[in-house]
Amino acid sequence: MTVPGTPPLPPGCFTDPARPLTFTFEGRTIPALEGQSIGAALYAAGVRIFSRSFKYHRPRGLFCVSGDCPNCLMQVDGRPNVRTCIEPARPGQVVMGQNAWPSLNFDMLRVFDAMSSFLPVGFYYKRFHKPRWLWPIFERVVRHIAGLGRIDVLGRPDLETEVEHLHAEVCVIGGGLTGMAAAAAAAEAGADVLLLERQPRLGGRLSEGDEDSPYLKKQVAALKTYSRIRVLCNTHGFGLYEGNVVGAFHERTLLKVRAGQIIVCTGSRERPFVFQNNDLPGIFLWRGVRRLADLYGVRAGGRAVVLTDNDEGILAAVGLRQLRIEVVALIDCRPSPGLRGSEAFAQFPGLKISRGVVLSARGSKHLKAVRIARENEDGTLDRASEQEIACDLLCMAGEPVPANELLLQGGMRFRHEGGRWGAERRVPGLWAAGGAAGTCRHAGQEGFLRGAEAAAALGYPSPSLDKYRGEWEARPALALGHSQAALSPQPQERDGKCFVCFCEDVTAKDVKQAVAEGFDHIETLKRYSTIGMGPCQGKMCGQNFSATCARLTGRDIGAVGTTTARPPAVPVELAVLAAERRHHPVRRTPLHHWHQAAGATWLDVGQWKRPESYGDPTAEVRTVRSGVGLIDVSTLGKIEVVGPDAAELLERIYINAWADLRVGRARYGVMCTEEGIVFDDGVAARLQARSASEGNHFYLTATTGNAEAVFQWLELWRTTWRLNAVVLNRTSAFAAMNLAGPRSREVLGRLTGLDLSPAAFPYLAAREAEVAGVPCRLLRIGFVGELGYEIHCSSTHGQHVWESILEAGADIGLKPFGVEAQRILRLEKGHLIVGQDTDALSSPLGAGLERMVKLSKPLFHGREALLRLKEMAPRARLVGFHLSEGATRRGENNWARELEGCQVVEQGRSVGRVTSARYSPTLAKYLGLAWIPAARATAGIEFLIRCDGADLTASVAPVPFYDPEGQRLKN
Amino acid sequence: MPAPRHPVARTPLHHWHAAHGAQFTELDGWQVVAAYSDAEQEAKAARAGLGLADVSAFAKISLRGTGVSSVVQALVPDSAALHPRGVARLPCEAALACRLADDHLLLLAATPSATALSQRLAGLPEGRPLVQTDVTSAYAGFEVLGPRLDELLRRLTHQDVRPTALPMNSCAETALAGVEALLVRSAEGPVRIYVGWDLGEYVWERLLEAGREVPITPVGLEAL
Repeated sequence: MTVPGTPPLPPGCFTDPARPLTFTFEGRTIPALEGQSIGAALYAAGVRIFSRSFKYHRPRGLFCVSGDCPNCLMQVDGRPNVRTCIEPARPGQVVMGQNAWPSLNFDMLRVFDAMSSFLPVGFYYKRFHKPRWLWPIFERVVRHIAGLGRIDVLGRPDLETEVEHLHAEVCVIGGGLTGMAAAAAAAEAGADVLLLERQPRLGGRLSEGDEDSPYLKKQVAALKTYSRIRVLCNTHGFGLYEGNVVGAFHERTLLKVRAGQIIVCTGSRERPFVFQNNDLPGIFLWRGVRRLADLYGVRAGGRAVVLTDNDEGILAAVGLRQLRIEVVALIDCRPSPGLRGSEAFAQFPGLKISRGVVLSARGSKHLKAVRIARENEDGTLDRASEQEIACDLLCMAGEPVPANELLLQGGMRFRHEGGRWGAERRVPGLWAAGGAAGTCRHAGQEGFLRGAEAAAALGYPSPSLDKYRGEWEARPALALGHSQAALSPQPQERDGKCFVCFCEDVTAKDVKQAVAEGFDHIETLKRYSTIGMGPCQGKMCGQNFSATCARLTGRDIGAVGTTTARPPAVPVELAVLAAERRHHPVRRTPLHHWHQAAGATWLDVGQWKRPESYGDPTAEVRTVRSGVGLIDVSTLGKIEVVGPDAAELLERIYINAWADLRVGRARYGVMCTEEGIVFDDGVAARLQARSASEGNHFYLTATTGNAEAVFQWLELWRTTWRLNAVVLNRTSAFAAMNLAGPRSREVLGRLTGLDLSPAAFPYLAAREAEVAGVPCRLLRIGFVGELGYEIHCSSTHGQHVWESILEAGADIGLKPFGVEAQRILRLEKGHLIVGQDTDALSSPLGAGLERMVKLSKPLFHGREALLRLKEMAPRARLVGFHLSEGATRRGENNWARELEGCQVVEQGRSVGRVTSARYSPTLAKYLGLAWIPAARATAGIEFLIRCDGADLTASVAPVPFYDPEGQRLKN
Repeated sequence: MPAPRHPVARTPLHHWHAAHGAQFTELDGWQVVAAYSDAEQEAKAARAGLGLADVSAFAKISLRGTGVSSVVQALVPDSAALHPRGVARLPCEAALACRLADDHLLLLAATPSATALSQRLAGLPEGRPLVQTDVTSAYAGFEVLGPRLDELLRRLTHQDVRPTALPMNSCAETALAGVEALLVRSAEGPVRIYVGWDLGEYVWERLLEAGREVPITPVGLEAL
């Protein structure tokens, strides 16, 4: 649309003309230069419709060219909602439009635009809920139509994200004139500075205009003299968080910056004007036209109209002429144009300033003309002055509004005074300078001053602080001509669609109606009308929204205020925010690689990897029952309690008795929470005190998943009760293995000099002795229900001891067994697993642990609750069951696992659940544990388990199922 | 009955080392890595970028209880400087003493043998309550050689490890790659990282991954 014969623009300062490339857009091949944005290349190739609006599917084109507005969101290489106006073009990229069907250029859903009278503000609150039966249908349709872009739910390994933690004494956000000044002043004083700039290079608006601005070159060169300044370009700050943490991202890396002082220099952006069809492609923010030309070398149009309410309009007209774009009209909607403007105007004969307002823009897919009119003294329109001006570009040079989202997030307040927002500096560690603070001119001086002040706050007295302060205070008064009435006459309630919010398609009329419906507070108005809730988060609409609300409610803008600013201030991919979650710690026992080499299948237990089996769990069960097996139990929590009060601590933490436990003995223990709920269980042994001064010495084991929680629990209460004991978490320090089976004594006897005879080392005894030349702690316990020894040694020698035992027992068939075999074995013994067979409602009284509860102890955790629970008698009990004959038809042994979690039903209602179930090869039966109503918890009573829609009959059986007398344990 | 094996101590990274061509040597009953290829090359690579050495075998002793202050006074010449988060070098044993808290002292030897340290501790007069524990097998330990530590760790921890924040003779307990870790910077320069023994291989691999651009090179004990 450029006038023929106009010479091309220089290539733009971000692009490299020597490196052309191509990408595809909806199947078309588009040429571009390296460094050029996708949007700029598309515009140069004649593309004018960049997106379809959220609600009415109206065509939208480039508008801000700074990544602030929602108009250019596209699908790029499968990533939705990419801001193409700033996203660099790369060779071979696949770019597609979104939110349109069948195409951006011709979108059937535009029909919503014609239906707008049926879709008033808040329509989704008013419609769809009656009649109720229609809602499921509505929901499906709404879900299909709503939303922008398509997300790849399967995940993309090529889109992996990372996190980096950065530290700086001063963090400056925004690398324009102000930010560079602030960084230089802070570094000059001696502070470490991190400067974040969202564009590919420093300069901000200095990059616009003269390509080789000597001033910019000087500034950048000055920055390079400071080794303390670290510059990160292409870095977007999106949030300010407590503790002076800046959230930012650089490509696909999340940056968490911890800074002593933060200086926000994010500049300002122009307020768009509100008139009919103000969203037509061809209507730009003036600075957008500037950026498109200066950064990317693309001219936005041929015949331009400039609409302004401040002096920047004059600069815009001058600038357009530099870009060889014809300025057909400059419309100043201030009641009287500023003096400065007139002077500038005098230097450009032929530029005609019209006073008036734009009523509407005309065009179906692109701007063709604008309709303007004058206003009378009383604010009414002078109909006689109406005229239409043909053009293909409308530049909106509105009053600059501070880009202050980050400052507001950081708690800084802004005051509206004399038609402008100004920062009130009150937040420690947070500074605002330049446009972001509401400063229009002399932003550089303010940058220097704030930089020096921030450094001074860190204890770096700046030699130039007084100079900077003097310069700032002596700055000339604000230049004439700045709009005093920041909101010049706006045709807010005129006919047609005058958009306030482009993201969500909210018009001035919608706002008026919402206020009329009673939503006259800016926060409720936002929630009802959805203004400011789209991708731009109020960057485009914020000022117009506050002003409209102020007008309609007859208040001052300052009194209306702005809506609460929350992170993220710029769009961030969820994957980037989730980057820190990439850490998946893996805990490996000292025997991990042995298991791996032995072909173990792995089971994830919290962060631990445990061998589930080495092939055939059933065979492993038989080995343990008939011969001897060895299992790695290094994941058990291991805790030492040492000190004169150690026994007292155990006495108060466990529900059973400990004071009477003699040295060399071990005991099963259960601990409860204050509410009388089972918290953990394990074995604790009393070891020989190592020295007289250390006092009692206990060695505790805890459930794998609970090790840390039990340690913290003991440490908390030791401290609270001021007991003289030390609690040590030794989980990582010891390898542990359980040698179990009738022939385990025989194997162990080959490796130790310890007397293993039943009299010398009986059941529930604990010993310290060398095994295979390594000092070990031995506990004679039997989780799996056979003669067995739990052997604990230093992690450093875990593999040596493990291999030595396996070698010693090789001739009698010793084999390792995994967690699955252990689960079957313990279930045959009816031993419960805390966390699997108990939950947050399980008291020891219902879980079959009544005999553990020693209410005679004066003080222990959960005593009060258990006293009450005992009076009430439990409503449900954990019982053992086996499936009746008819229910066990299915052949495979591992089928029974599916029962875990199934409901126990009675007359079709759920009355309990199955917590454990397995096929027992030893007893040739399907066994399990289940919570059922206490009234039915009697051996022999039958109940129903619902599994896959079928009801299976089970009958309550006494536990242990296997070796009820415990003879095998004790022999 | 097979002949009893000779007890051998392995670090949690033993299998990683073996899979990456390490030449092992025996030191005080431990299998430790002498070098992966050539010690001089490794030292050079570490100087150019970063070197990562497994020092999990070096003895560690934890002292807990109110008696810690008197131990500090007896062991450390400038005991006043050994405040919590402080680190001091014990002159005779070449071991580091890290004061993790008022009542918690961690002694880190420069050899796998704890004999010298134990003897020294045994010689101290018995007094206030003190629990002494050998925690060698509780923590995997890594030494990071080279000045570019910040580039490595900024991807893994929020802890500021630049010398301004973690100066010489100080230590910090922090989160690293999602697990608890202890960072120790002595006066000599190299920083040591301690994590739970069972997390050793996981953290070692994360360190190598995070430092791949620096680059980071695994080095044997000969290069130290």
